[in-house]
Amino acid sequence: MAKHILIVDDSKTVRNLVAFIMKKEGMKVTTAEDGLDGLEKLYSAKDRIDLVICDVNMPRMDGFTFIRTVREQDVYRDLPIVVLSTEGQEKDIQAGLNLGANLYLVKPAQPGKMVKNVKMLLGS
Amino acid sequence: MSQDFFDPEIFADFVIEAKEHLETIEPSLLELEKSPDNLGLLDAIFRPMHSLKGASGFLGLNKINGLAHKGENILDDLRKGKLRVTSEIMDVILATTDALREMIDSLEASGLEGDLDTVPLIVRIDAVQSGAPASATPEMVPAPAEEAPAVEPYTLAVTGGDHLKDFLEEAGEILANLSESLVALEKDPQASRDLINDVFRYFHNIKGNSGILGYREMNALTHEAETLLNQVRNGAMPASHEMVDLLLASVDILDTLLRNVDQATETVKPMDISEIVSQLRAFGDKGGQSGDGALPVQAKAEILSEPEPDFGDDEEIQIFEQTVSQQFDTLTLALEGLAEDSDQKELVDALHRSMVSIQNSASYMGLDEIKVYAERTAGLVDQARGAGLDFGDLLDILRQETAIMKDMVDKEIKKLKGDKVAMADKVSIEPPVKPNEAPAPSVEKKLERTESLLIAEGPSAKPGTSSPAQAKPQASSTIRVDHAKLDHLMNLIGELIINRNRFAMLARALDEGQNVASVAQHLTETTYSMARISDDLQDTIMKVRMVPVQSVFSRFPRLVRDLSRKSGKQVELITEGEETELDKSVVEVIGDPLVHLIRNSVDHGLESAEDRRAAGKSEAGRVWLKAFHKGNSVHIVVEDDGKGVDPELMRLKGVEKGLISEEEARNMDDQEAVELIFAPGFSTAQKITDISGRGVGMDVVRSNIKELKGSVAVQSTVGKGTIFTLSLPLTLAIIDALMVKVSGAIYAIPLDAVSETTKIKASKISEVNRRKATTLRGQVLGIVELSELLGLPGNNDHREVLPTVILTVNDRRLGLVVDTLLERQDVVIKSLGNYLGNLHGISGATIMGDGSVILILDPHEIYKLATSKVGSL
Repeated sequence: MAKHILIVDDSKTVRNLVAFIMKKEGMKVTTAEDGLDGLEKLYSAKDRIDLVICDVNMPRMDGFTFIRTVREQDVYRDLPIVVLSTEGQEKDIQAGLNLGANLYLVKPAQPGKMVKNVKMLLGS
Repeated sequence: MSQDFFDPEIFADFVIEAKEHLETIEPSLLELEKSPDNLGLLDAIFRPMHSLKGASGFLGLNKINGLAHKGENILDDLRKGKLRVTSEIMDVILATTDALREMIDSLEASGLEGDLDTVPLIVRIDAVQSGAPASATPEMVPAPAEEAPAVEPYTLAVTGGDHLKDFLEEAGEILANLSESLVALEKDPQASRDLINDVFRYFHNIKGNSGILGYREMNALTHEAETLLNQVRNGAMPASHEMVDLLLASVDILDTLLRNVDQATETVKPMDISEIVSQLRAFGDKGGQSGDGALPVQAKAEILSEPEPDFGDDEEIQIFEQTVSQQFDTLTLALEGLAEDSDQKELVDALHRSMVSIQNSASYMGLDEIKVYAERTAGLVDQARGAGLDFGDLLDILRQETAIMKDMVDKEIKKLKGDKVAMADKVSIEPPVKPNEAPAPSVEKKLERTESLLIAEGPSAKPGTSSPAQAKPQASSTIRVDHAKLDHLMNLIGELIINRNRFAMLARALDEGQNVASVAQHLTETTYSMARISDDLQDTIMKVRMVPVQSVFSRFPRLVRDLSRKSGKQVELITEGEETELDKSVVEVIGDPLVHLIRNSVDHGLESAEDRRAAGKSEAGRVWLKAFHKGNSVHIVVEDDGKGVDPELMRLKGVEKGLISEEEARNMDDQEAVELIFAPGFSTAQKITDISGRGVGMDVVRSNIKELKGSVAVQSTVGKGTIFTLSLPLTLAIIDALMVKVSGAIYAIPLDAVSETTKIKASKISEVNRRKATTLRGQVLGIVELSELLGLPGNNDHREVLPTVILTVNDRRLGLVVDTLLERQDVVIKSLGNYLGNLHGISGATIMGDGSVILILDPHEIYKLATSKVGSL
């Protein structure tokens, strides 16, 4: 069964680009445009979400709040989350890891590299 | 011309120096024409011209001096900015240096400056100098970029058909939003945080998206804008009118940059954005205070250039390294947090996630050892959090496991970086994704491993209650293997593969009908190399399996204590040689035999305290447990200082229990009588106690040791004590053997039981007590026909000389007559199948190079057969 990736990013270009790459690798993709939308899609997904790719700076609900909310629920405590961060902000990295991200990628992340990061976390 | 004091030597020196100056000037002039703004070059030209002027003036060379002076002047004007480098000026300067060279050549040839008329050139120089506009100022010097030829368009890194279209559409929308937001921000500088965040995010998203495409100008400009806005977000700077003006100007330029993209060809025309970038940066550096005058202009903007993506092996190694590095950072943070407060659920969950991430990424990279280790540790955490354990108790274990994993990962990364070819091979043969059914058994395996780990930790956590029952699982669950041994194994396997390829080449050479002698030589060399590799491989694997005997000995102090209390005797246990190494499988099996031997010593061997006092011994009996290497074996000795085994008593008991006849008892020597202790059903204890049972231990001991291809020997002196010696092979599977032929068939005799081979004259053999015997170097030696023992047809030929193998079994010797003595050879022991059952005298089989099967003799059983058959005659 194909892995199901949830992409949470307020940039349509990023969402479309990452979705394109993941689909090319045989994965199923759901996209969300901010943290709130991401939560809604995570909760309502018919096929279980296997991994989340999440931006930090988003309107309505930012990445950190999204991650904290997800991790508070036991059913999602082991869900892999990859954060797309602003470059070189040490405080943000610390906050992200403490709040439960599995991996922190600095923008602009190269598409091919991102695929390998995702595959490593999924163990495929 | 004034040359009153002409000196040829001085002028010669001047000529040399002058030529050197000119040789310095001309290359710099040519370079200056290409880089008009390089002030350093002007300095490099001015100095030698100045020196030339000074020297020529000193020597009174007025024409050279005059022209050099003019050249100096024009260069000075260029340095000070009064003049600009043009082709016309370059022509004048080059004409000047040409004239100077001509005059110096003339000086060298004739001692005179020559007839060259320098006046027209001087006039020309004056015209150039006076022709410059007097109103020129440094600030008006145009940027060199304007004179540079237009740069070619470059291609964007587009992924997928709609990527560029999405980018252009979204960027257009963002710029429209930016204009509105910035206008709103200008109207209300104390705007809400949301508005500022919106503006920041707009620039941020364009920066990220253009970065992915490699659109350098857009990425650099938005980077500066984002940096500026971040200061506003952090409260370090207010949103002033000047800032909004700058940002709106940036939006205008971004709009232009967007229109520069050619969607059809996915290329973009380069554009100079240095001015706006410098202004944004300067504004940020000044902390928002706008200057009165124009901002300083920088020659070049520092544009972020994205390196081309490289998705080769290096990339994968880097990604893995980055991934696991972040995991170990998280593990460190989580463990530190739990040390302060071990009840933080989110930190426990973080531990588990990081370990699973290490497990999965190692699996992706094909690093199975790390994967298994991380999986086991993650399973431990998962089980513990599921059971609601307090993690304070687990912190030390988890810190240790994390450190071990980190060491393993660091070593693998070093290896991967040093061996990219191997990495490429791994990647190319990447296994397919596992089916969904696989997780179920792995979960069970995980739990099993976790339980094993928990059990292994148990004895160390509570040493007071450790017992043999718990030690066994610990011994069998894992072996900690030295990394050097594993590295050596990997190296040998590599050599094995190389040799396999050599054999393949040899086979191909034979197929092609190459010179047989040459191929045979290579075949010999390759076979020799294979022998060396397999020997080394055997040695290394044996070493990997070796563990100190201490892991078995550590059980016995407790056992002796229990035995001494139950038997009412005082016993002291002394151990020696605990560091002696044994094969792991031997260690696992040898525990029970040793328990029996120690029980036997305490129960049967040692006297009671009063008996010992009466015999003049210490009240406490002593039992020694020793281990040492001897030749090709490991010896384990169980020795006591008790009453010893009484041979006469053994004979009586043997007859009494029907094990031997009275005649046999009379013919036995003392050693044979003592060895009756190993006979099934034998027991000499006056009292049958619950500790030692009914004497079933000793035959079990012997059969267990035999299964390991070992032996048990006993020596005893009445009144002094008894010594049991277990001899165990270092190597389980391969032995040195002597090949012999008897009754037309070949047999293998383990070489460690062969003390020598010889030929015995038939005339020297005599019968003693119905046994054949001879005297060999002054000692009596029993002689028996091997064919007779094995039930094979005898050799009816009358032979003057008999080929004989001298066996030594438990320090007793036997001459074994065979038909032919063959060569010595290493043989691999194979077990006999069930369908053959138990053959007396045979311990196993081996397969020869030609595929034939050879039986391996058991020296101990051969000896027993020889003595019992002779007795029954």
